[in-house]
Amino acid sequence: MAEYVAAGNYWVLPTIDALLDGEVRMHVSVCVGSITGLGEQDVEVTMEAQGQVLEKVAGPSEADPLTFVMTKAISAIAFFTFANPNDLTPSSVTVRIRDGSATFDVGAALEG
Amino acid sequence: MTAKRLYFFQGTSYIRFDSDVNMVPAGYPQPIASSWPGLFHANISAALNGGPGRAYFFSENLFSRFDLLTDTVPSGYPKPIAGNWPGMEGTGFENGIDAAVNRGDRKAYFFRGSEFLRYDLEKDAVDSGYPKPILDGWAGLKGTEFLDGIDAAINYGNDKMYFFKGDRYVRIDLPSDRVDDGFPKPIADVWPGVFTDGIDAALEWPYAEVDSDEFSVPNSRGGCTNIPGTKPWSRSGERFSMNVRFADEPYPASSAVGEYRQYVRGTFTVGGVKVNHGLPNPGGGAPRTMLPTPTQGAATDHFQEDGLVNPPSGSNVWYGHRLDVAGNVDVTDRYAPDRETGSAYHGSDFPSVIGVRRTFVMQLDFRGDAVDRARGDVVLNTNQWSVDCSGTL
Repeated sequence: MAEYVAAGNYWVLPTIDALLDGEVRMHVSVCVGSITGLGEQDVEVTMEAQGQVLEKVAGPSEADPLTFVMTKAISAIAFFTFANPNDLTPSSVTVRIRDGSATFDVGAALEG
Repeated sequence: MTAKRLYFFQGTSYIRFDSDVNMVPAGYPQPIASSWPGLFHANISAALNGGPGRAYFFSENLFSRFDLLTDTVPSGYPKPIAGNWPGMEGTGFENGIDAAVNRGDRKAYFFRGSEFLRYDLEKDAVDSGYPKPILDGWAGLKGTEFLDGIDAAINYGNDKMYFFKGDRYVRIDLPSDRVDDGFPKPIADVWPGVFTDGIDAALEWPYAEVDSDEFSVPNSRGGCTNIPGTKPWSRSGERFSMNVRFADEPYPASSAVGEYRQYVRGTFTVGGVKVNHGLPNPGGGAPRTMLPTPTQGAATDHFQEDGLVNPPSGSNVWYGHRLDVAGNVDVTDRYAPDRETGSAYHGSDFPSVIGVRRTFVMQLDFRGDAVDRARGDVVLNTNQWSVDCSGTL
C-alpha cells in the first residue's frame, strides 16, 4: 500500500483513479488540521508519463473547491485531470503544497 | 471489589500478583531495573499508592514518585523524605520508612520500627498526635512480632489491609481497625508464588472501573444531516457523542487510570472515487491510511485509532488520551472536573464530508473502548456502531 509522504509541513498521498481514453484522473489526499487554512490554490500537481509532462485540464479552483472528508482526522481531497492524448503510462507525480513538494513513482503500481 | 494487581519487592527483584486470579504470572520474579525506569533498583523499603495515578517508593532517607500513565519517574527524583513529607521531621521517619499503606480514605499509614504515623494525603501533613506505638493502633498485634515493626503493607480493598513481617502476615479489618481472628498466618499459605522469606515492600496497584450503565457510547446520535456552510459548501454527516464515567470507589479503583479510545475503519467515496483518508501514526512518522471494513474471514479487523494529524493549537490528537497536549481546551474531548483525575469523560464527533456539487458515500464503522491504563490498556467496556450517509453535496 502506498504511504503518505511529507511535502513541507503536509503529509500527502496521490492516487491514480482512472486511465481513460485520452486522459488520466487522480486525487491527492492531504492531511490537514482543519478545513480552513488550505485553499484550492495551495495544491498543485505535475504528472509525467514516459518522459513527457502531461497537461493539466482540471484541478481545484474556486468553482471546484477542495473536498474534505472527516472523522476526527481531516483529509483535504484535490481532484485532477490530465490530458493524455497518446495514452502514455504515467510514471511520476509531483505534489506541491505551498513551499513543500514530494514526488511519487506511480509507474510501478500501474504496471503491476 | 478487591485490588486486581499487587506488587511485592525484595532486594533487587519484584513480583506481580494478579489478585483477581490469585496467581503470579509466569516469568516472575524480575529485576526491578527491567520494568521500573528511573526507580530505585534495589532496597525499596516501602511503597505507597499515593493516588491519583501515582505511587511513592522509599529507600533509606529518599523517596521517588512513579507516574502510572507514563510509567516513569519524573525529573528531580529521588528526593529526601525530610522537607517533602510535612510533619515527619524530628520523628525519625525522615531517615527511613519500613512500610506504608493507603487507607483509601485520604489517609495513609507509615511504619518505622515499633511506631506508626497517620498521614493526611489531602492536607499533605502528618496528623497531630503521631507517631504512636503500633500497639496503640492495633491491640490485636499484642504478643506478635509485628509490634517491633512491619516489613510491608497493602490495602487489598474490600475493607481489608495486610501487614507482612518475615514469613507471616496479618489481616486488618479496616472499619473496626482490628486484627481478624486466626492471624498471623504464613505468607506461603495464601500467596502462591510471592516471596515467602520476607517482603521489603508491597503495593496495591490502582485499576479503572466503569459500570455498564456509565458507558454511553455512542450517545445522542443525530442521524445523517446536511448543513449549509459559510462558503458555497455543505457538510453532510452524523453527529454523536461519547460519555463514560470511571469509578473512584471502592479503593483502589481510580478514575485517573481510565481512558476512552475510539477506532475507525471504512471508506469515503466522493464523485464515485474511493479517496484516501489519513489517520495519525501512534508511533510517529507518516500517517496511516484508513482501512476499509474487512471481508469476512480477514486476519485483522482493520480498526485503527482515530485522531487528528498535525492538530492545530487547541485540538487534541486523540480521543480520550489524558496526556494529550491541548488538554481539556478541546471541547470535543474532555474529562471533568479536570483531565488528570476527572472521572467523567465527554467526547463528541461529527464524521462528515464537506464540499460542493459532488456525490458522496460515507461508510464508517466506529469502536469505542474504555480502557484501564494501569493494567496494560485492558478493555473494560466496548461498543461498535456504523455511520452510513450518502447524497450530493
